[in-house]
Amino acid sequence: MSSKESPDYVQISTAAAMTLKIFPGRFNRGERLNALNLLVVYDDSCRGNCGYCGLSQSRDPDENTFIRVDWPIVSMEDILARTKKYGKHLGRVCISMITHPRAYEDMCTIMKKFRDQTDLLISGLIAPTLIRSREKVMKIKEAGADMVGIAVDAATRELFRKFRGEGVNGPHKWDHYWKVVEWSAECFGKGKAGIHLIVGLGETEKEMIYIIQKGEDRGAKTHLFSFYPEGGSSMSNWKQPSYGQYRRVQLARYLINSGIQRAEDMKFSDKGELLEFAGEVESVIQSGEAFMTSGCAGHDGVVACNRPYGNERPSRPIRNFAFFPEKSDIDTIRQQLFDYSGDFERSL
Amino acid sequence: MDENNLKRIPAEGGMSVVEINGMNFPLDRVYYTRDGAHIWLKQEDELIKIGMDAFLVEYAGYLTFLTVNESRVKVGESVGSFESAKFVSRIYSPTDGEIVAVNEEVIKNPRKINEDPYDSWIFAVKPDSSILDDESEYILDNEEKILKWISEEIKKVEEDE
Repeated sequence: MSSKESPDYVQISTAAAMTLKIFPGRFNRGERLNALNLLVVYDDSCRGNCGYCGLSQSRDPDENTFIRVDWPIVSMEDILARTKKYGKHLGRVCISMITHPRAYEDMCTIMKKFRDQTDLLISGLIAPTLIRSREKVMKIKEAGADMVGIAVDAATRELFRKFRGEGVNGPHKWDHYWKVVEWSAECFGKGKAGIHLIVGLGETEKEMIYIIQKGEDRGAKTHLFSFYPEGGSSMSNWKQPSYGQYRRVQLARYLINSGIQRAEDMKFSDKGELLEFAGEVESVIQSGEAFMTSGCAGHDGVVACNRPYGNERPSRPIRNFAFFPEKSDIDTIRQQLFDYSGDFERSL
Repeated sequence: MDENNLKRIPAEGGMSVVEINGMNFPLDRVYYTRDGAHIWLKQEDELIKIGMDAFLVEYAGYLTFLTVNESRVKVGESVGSFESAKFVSRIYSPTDGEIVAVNEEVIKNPRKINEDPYDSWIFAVKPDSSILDDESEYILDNEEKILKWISEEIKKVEEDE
């Protein structure tokens, strides 16, 4: 039997599989996915060994989720046909590399198929360890992408080393990741490059907020994730960050990426907790937009990569809202935002 | 919805099944619809076994968590919850009574319900009185009623999409 590998096959998120009617199911609260997330796939998998990741080489082989859910392997032919049939509302597709020697070329091949056969905007979530020149970034644009993301994930050099680099015998280097962030912002333009950051890998709020500012200053917007312990990974027994920590970072990210405030004007405790923003935030809290999923936008300029329930079970309070939070949601957010002692978690 | 998608097919042992858009509704049991419930009820002596119907399973997606947590229940009250990767909802009791058994096999592996919702009862209740008398307006017990109900439910979902 021939292998189901890229570029003829990809892995597709559960949410995308539901949207394309490959999987059954609907989204809680009537949410809708507006961007497809695809991942290149190979028999010998990712060369990375990141401690928190579902694709890590050292993970228990009986566990097969990634970012909390199943990612079925589907043929590109089927995905393209179903996108045309069921994906009229979709605004974007994101093709993710993994750290595999074939991933770069295959990602570009898959991008060209979407460019030629659909109207979707295209993002590439690129693996910097495989990208050693500015020219390779530019070729991603030529393949059809208008945006790229780089999963920096960890907020500090030390955490990056610990969970992605030498600490886990992994191949990734902090300085090179940031070099690729700079190349991406140069090639794609300011605001067209993004960095993924995961809250809850052991960083302080101050460290996370300062790295968001660093990304902004280098032309990259932050797409924020909340750590979720993947079963079978070396961090499967870690807790998710508190809602208080996540909400404060979310709000700071929004203010920084919108150009409203800067990290160095915010006030932090000795433990690195965000105590005061650098000005009025009530109207921003009230609008709710700061607590919605941050990600690549669709044709309408609104975030298409909305990832419903990407960071928590649907029975738990939402971390990234895929829709504008309602009044009752804002009331809960406000309670979480100013909680420094874990009272909210204890109330669940 | 295409009328051709509605059909009644004979099953083994003479039992009949209503099939709509690939979803089956065996007629050896009744269906409870109050407040949007999609559960089947099957009488076994003095007990009633309760499970999820094919429409609800299709709507919820692949189940990951299932809980049943009440022993004494009242009609319309939550007796537990079910959850998939992207959806969560409660299970409501169709009767006053006592839960006398829970199917631990499906609690441990809720995905069995996706594989065969009608062979995967969730809990058994000993009702205080006859459900068919108390909740008769919400009980569907024949092909015509089931077809009409599921057709309307499918239409609602299609309009939402």
